Amino acid sequence: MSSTMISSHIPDLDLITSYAQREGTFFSRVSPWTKFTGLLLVILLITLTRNLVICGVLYLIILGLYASAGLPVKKLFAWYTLPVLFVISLVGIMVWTEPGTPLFSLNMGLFALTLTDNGLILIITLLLKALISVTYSLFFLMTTRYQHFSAMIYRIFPSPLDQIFLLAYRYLFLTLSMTGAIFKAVRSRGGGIIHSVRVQGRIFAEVFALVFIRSFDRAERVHQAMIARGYNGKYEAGTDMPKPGLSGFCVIGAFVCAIALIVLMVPNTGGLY
Amino acid sequence: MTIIHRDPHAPHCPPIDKKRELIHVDCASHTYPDGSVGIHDMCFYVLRDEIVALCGPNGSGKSTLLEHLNGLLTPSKGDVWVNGRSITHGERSDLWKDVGVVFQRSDDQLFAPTVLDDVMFGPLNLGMSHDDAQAAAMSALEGVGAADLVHKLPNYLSGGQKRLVSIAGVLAMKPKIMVLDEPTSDLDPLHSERVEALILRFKRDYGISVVIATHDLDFAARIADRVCLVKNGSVFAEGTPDEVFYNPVLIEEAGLTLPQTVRIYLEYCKAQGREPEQRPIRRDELIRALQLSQS
Amino acid sequence: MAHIHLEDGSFSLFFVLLWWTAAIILVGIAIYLMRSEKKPDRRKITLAAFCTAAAFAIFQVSLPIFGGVHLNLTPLIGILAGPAAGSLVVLIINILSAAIGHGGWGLIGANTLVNIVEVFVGYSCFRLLKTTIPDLFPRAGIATIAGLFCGNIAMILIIIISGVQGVNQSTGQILTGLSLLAAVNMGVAVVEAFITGLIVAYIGKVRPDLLGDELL
Repeated sequence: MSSTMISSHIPDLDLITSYAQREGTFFSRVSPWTKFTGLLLVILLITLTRNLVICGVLYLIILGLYASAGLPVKKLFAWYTLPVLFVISLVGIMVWTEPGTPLFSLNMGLFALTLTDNGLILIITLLLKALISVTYSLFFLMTTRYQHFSAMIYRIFPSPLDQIFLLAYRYLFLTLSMTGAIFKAVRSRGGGIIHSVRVQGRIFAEVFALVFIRSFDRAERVHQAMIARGYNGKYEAGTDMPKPGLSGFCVIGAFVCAIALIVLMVPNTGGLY
Repeated sequence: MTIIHRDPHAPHCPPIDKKRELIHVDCASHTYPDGSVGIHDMCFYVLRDEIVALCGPNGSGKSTLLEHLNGLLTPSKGDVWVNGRSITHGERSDLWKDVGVVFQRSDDQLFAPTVLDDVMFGPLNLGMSHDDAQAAAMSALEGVGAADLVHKLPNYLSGGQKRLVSIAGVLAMKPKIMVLDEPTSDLDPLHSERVEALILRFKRDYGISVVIATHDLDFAARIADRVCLVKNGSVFAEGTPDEVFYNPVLIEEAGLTLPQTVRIYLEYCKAQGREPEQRPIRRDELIRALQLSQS
Repeated sequence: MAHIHLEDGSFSLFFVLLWWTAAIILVGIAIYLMRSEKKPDRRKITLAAFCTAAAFAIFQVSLPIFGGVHLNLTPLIGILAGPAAGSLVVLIINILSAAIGHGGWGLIGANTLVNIVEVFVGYSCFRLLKTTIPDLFPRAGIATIAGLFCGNIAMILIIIISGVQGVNQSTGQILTGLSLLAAVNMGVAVVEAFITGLIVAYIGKVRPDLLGDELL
């Protein structure tokens, strides 16, 4: 467990960044812009399609990409916890009343909950869509260098949004580490033992408040240090980024054509409205 | 050595050497919004081509004074003159061009995504073109011996590397005065020695005057031309390192402990039952003094 | 958490773009307001950045209540950063969250809209109740409940208007399901209100300057 890892089911940013900095695989050398366009196209496709087979195939392809980049698959499955929970919390309630051929019923006394084939397909499709998005996002994060992400943030967002984003991204790691350290200190003196919701809530609130206060203290020190070097409200993150090559354009072009074909030819696609 | 006994009724401390004075702090006081006193009736000066060490325990007002030198703080009473300009009454928005500050916590200073971006930050603010800023940054990184870190992320640097990059970030702006707050705190001996050598080089090669705040008297003894002892927000004694450090009563009054070389020499003399005839400060001086006393 | 994170593929393309556009407009207004300040306070940018980092770090902590709860603290962001900077903070948090799979990329627009409602209502309530309830703990708690309640309503409206792709139920049936979800969310909102109240009271005690004269 790394120092910043507070909940094991949440992706560890330190681990993600250390993978990103390795630059050991082919995917690390692909232009970040190509991978970013790929992300947009993946999102477009899973927004447009409702077809379970397409979602299944796309998921396997992306999982294959993730694994072939040497990224940790076991950890990925642990990181699926919250996305799966989000999908189930939204659709898990609706799925029982979905029209279709009943598969089984749960008798709740006053009423019965029936799961239909459409309900089952619906939840599996939405789960696959969520997993596709998570897996590609993490693949993108873990094969793209930190400085390239920073340069993308600087180029994409207007000021002051880019400045806030860049500073937050830089100090996120230290804040996570600080939060982890405070919790370790609390636990080392028995603070992790559950006394009551009220006592537990108070301990957590004090830790959270401390995280905010220390963050604001640091914000002031960082700001002073920036002013001391002539900060006037704007700073650059000007790392050069590799531009997409011909092969990058070809991959993107092929992906766009595939999406167009899928939208036109495959049933259950066309989620425009 | 001068032990400063300020007359509480005297409104000013006059300049020592107007021609050579780069910084003159004239009876400045600063009280924080919570009522705590940062500096009180502080009199201090820095001459061209000198390294001054401000020595005092935690909370004595060293860091508060340093922040005045760059215009980050202004005195609530008294005045601070930098390069002939008053920061209290005059324009201080471009003071950062003359006085570079290296902060105690390097992580607070290294805010940019990469080392290069961070070191380029100051030169870009000076109005340099992107290429010139990059060249200045590279030259500064080479100057501190950290050129190999140029594409690294600040997050993944060691404490010593972070300190070197912080210094490069200030050096790239070519300031007249460099102010360093506890520059060797939390560093391993190897990096401490590198920082020490750099500070000596700034004065020798770049003609930069240096002000250091430290409670490490061994470090101050090795590099300072002049030592100022700070207590309760004021400088209460100053002099050359040998004058100050061979006055144990004064050091105790400042809430500090004698540098190791001084302690060894004094204890040696005491054990030998003789009066200290010399005042060795650096390690080589101590060895010479011991050899001399044995022969 | 006190509100849900919609995942990619839940909405059709039209509604993805619609909510993105609405969020961009609101964020654009926030940027305009920050840029057009007569005396721009650059310190606000640094504070907003650290508010983002702190809120995101806290989001990663699992509270051992109800089997594990993650807090977003959006009303607290509103109270500490104000509505304009707070809107930018929640957008960044949603982007960072999407990057690690908590909420979809296509749904950042919708999720940000819900969060902006929480930020705005949280801040406004906290400010409006300044004279009525001077004590920070209950005031922040009430502001949080109000913010999260309005956020929940915004979420229900967004889902009802957009519909979930593949769900063929009537609006009534969807509303029933969402109401159940909203009820659970409001249960968590009470925990978040309690925690936020304590955080604000603690900050008020240790660093009152962070809340400023207009809120104290």
